[in-house]
Amino acid sequence: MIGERKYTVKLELRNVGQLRQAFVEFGDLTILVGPQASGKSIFLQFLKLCLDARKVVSDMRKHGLEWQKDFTSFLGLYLGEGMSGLWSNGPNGSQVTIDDSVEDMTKVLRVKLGKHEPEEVLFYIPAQRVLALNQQGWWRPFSDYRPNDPYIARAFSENIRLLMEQGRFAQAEGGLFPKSNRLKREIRDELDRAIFHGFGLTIDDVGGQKRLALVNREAKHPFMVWSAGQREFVPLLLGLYWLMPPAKVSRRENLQWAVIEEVEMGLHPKAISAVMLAVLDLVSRGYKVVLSTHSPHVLDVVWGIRTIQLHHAGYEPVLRVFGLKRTQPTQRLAEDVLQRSYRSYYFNPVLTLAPTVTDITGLDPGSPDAAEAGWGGLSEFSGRIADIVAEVVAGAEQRRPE
Amino acid sequence: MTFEAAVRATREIAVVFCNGLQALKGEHRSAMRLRTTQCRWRGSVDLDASLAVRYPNDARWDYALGYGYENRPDGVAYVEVHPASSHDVDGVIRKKAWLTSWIDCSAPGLGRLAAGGFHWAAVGGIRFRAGTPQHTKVAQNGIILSRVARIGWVA
Repeated sequence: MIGERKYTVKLELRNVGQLRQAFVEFGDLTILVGPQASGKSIFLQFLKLCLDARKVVSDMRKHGLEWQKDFTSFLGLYLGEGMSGLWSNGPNGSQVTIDDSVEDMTKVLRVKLGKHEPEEVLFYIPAQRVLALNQQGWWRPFSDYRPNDPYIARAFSENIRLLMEQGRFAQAEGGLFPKSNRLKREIRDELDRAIFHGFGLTIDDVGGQKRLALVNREAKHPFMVWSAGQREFVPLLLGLYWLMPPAKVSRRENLQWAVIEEVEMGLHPKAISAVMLAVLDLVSRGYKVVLSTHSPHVLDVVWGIRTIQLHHAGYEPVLRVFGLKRTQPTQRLAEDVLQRSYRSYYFNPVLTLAPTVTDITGLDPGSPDAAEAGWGGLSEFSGRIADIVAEVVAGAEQRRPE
Repeated sequence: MTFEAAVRATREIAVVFCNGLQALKGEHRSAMRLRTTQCRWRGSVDLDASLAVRYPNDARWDYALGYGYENRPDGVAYVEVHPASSHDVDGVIRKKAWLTSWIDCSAPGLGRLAAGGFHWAAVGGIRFRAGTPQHTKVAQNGIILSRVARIGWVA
């Protein structure tokens, strides 16, 4: 039943909002692509609900949210304002299937909570992660949001706030980045080069009020003067810290899944490469990772690794993809990611009789399937421009006066 | 002028004109398609094989294909059947440079036919995606890359 599974490999949503039929078989790393409002986030939030129903209900009750035993009201609170209407009943109503078994989602209304706080199986880093920081550069509590803001945004914010206030990442006025016991040194170096440029991320105290700041020897930059990419990345970094414990523990015992929405948000391609390296580290630690993205760069990484796997080319090309030198940790990471499975899906918002989700795992640029060849629309536009340019150039070259 | 007449007027390939797609190796024929049902094949020439003796060390292009619509002059499209990994890009661009130079010097009749484009039919799939520098370079050089060459476009 929902909330009691850890190792789901397949999830199917039928007639849920714009998702007429969305079937995903998860790999160790699964990528979801598709235009805005194509249902990726709804799909991922249902995955969270299926795996963590008890934790979700516990959090929502703890903060005084009430849904009067009505599932659509519950969804309005869980998914956010205006989303309760996406669930329908009746013969062609909404349906959720996990690993070939149809689930009664209304069981979420009857979840019984024990004395202990339920453990979370899936850690969700939402697209709205920048909202987790207030204008002073500190973490917003769950109650700081409106009641009908999405649960995933509120819960992420609250999680990181609690961890920060418990000093789990750094002491009261300590440095958060770079930290020698957090992330592999090679990943830290890449993130520094791509995002922080020699600045360190620290907890600063201004008149008794904590805030985050970027500092180097000459300057201290408060949150409001950070670049958009830095603002987007810092909440993601702290999420990664939680998923990657220090010392010899490779991952959180109870956490099996990591979802990161729009992993590339606000980042330059160089920074996306660095973040994807961290994502692969999550995969090599044994998490099932699901990303949603609008960046062809993210699919480039998956395409490259799958091709290297296919041709049994070994770890060395993986290091070259990221411009990494061979060290023991990088070689181990590269060898490990070649043992993992990768899947990609295109969420197509077009209302036709075709399924709304297409498996594009092959990522073959020459595929006769336009969705796969165009990587779910991510490279389709570039391809069209290239074809037009080629025709224009060829036409001009071949045209001769009679 | 028809495609056949243009070929027969070109000394270096005058005797190698073939009807339909008969000049193509069997495994290459499935990589050619006409854009519309109104369009017809007007003949073909295996440039690579027929010019091998005269230009043994040059980067020779594969085929010239004639096509036509009723009541319109014939067109010619040039097709290179080649793997498409990023390592092949410069090689195919060199072949195309050789081809245009050869048309200018040795096959002006073909040059006067309606332009059907330079096509790279990618055998074994395309190993680089749209939007990459390699793909852009191919386009900038006037080469239309696809798994199956779609012939019949008129500039």
